Amino acid sequence: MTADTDQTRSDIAWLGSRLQHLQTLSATLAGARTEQEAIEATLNPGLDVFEADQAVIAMLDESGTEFRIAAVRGYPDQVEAEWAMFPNTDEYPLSAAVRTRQPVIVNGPEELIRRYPKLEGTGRSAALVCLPMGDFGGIALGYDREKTFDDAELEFMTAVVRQCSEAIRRTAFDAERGRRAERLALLAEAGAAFARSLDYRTTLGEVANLAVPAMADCCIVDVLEPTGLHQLATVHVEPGKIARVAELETSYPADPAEPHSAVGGVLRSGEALLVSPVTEGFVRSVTRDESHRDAVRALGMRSLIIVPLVARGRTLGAITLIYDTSSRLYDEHDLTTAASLADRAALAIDNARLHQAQTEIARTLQHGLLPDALPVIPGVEITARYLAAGEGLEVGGDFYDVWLMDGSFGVAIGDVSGKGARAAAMTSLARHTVRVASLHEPTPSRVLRVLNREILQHRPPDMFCTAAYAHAVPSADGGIDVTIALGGHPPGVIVRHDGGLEQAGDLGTLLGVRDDVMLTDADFHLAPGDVLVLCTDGVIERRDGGRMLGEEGLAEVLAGIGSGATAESIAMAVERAVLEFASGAPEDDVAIVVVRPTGAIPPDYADA
Amino acid sequence: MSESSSIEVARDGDVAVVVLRGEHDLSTADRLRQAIERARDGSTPVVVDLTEATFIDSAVLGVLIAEHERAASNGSAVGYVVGAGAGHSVHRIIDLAGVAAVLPISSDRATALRAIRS
Repeated sequence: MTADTDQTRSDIAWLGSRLQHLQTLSATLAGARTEQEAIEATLNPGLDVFEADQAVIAMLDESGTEFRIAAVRGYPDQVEAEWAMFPNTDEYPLSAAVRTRQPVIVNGPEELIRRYPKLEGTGRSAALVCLPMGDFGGIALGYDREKTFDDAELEFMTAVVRQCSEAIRRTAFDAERGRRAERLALLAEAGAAFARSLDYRTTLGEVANLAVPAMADCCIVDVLEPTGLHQLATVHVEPGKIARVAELETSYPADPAEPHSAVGGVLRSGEALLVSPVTEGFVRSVTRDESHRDAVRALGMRSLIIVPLVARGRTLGAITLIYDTSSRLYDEHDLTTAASLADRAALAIDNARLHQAQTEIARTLQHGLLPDALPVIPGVEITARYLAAGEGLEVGGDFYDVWLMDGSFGVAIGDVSGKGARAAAMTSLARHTVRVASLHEPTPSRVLRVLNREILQHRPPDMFCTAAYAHAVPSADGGIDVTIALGGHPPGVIVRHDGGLEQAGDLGTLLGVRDDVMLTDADFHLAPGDVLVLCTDGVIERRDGGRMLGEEGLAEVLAGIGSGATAESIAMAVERAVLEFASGAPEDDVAIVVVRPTGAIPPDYADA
Repeated sequence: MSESSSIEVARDGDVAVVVLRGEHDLSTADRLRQAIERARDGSTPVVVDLTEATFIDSAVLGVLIAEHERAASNGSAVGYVVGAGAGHSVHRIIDLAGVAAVLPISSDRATALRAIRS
């Protein structure tokens, strides 16, 4: 055996083991799912491939001014601590390699200090090869003994490092894609959350919960209330830190008028703010004194976004997103997402406030549609019931009215198509038109004709009205003589004191659609103890699945009422029948008016 | 309430036929309005057949009235069919509202189609 063959054999063995290491490295890199995993893989099997004793991977931060150590192998702990960050200048070998995109090779310790005096006195390697990794970082490979590197060796190292760089870039890209997907999912979720709740406090609490940790380590939501800026929600990945944020807020409350308030600035300008990274200069600009600065520094903010909550041109508050515990930095994409989130939240707040205001308006309007109190008519019981469909928001189109005239009284009930303020205005018009017309028109059908003309003149398109109007005159027997006209309205029901049912009124045309309506007057007498029941279609159209209460159902309820029942108890029975027919609030408004002469009419009134 | 309801648009020569099935109320009124609008597509004559409807409320009636007025004002034509098979409440609401004389209502589709083509 010659020396040459030994050399060849050992070369082959070395090559074999290096190939094996290389395969392991490739496999590990391919399996890396996160940027950190790819970086670790570069060092872990990587160190064997490069046959190095130490290695450092450093990444350029977003500002491009500093390198941050991403992973270290082989150096004592104290070196790692010293080298957490270093500036991006030619005075450091790794910086120099990334800046020039060329390998930096140092063959021995004397050369290292001569070329890089800044490294004097630090724990270090004897020989060093620094290679750039793309444009985002670099790797330094250290050797305990002096060493030379030939071209083939350097070429090999460069090729392997390129493979590692690609893996890191891919995982970073995946991570960015993942974050984008996360951001989109967040927005979708926020939209759903806002739709669920009309209470903006709940809504904004959810914003903060959604943002952490998907978009922030810490999220603060401030809302402008009449009393000032109010911190509505604070969420932190480390719940322990919430107290510190709250404390800061108590000592230095965010104030829209305070020049040294970042949130205040955003509220004043209406412009979003992206601070990435948070610098000492920024901290100084948003703090009022040294203790404030200390408190803010203690939060350890690395990056932040403040977006205003603006709806319909009004600034309602601001959302602050902060990265502190994680080392992530915000970018323009995050700013866009945050702005979308704020837009949606602001709209939700605005809607909630609008909803509140509309409910108030609705209540006030509804008040105008219905009489505050029914007149007291001697010898006649009159009761009315009104059930609003669903929540208070939508003002219904149902109305009723009872009023005294000279020696007689009028009873009106009606239903204007549609809902909301438009319908409410029409309803109010209808109610008052009938009342006024009743004073000078001789018959109920003429009264409804006036209403028909009035609606045709004033109505917005697609709106019409049904109404029943009855004119009642007390008679000598203690009962009342009634004349009724129906304009597209369900007829009334007469419940005779012996339990018999009769229809009150002849069917007529609904009002507000055309001039030539067919309206007729029907006369009947209510003896003492007889009852007239008028209601809107909400009663007979009350449904439960495929069943409907119907006129038949109403008739059944009324037939079941014993003689002597008061107007009040009859109205209640109809109301109960409607409510109990199906679960849930009625889908349509329901109005019920019950008129019952008792027979106890003072003679002078009857004679009038 | 309206899970058993449907609105279908078919074609009978030059006339679009909108067929209502099942229950129709405030919750489907807008869909009906849109279906009629689409079927009209400018000036196509439209027949709305309610024979298979089991229930309509005043909101649906409102759509039928409004579409009749719209057709009258823009020179297009609309007709309605309420056959004997329509739900009792469908007949009843038309009676109660007194619109049998107001709306062009036929008792079968062939009559409605003839009327709208004449």
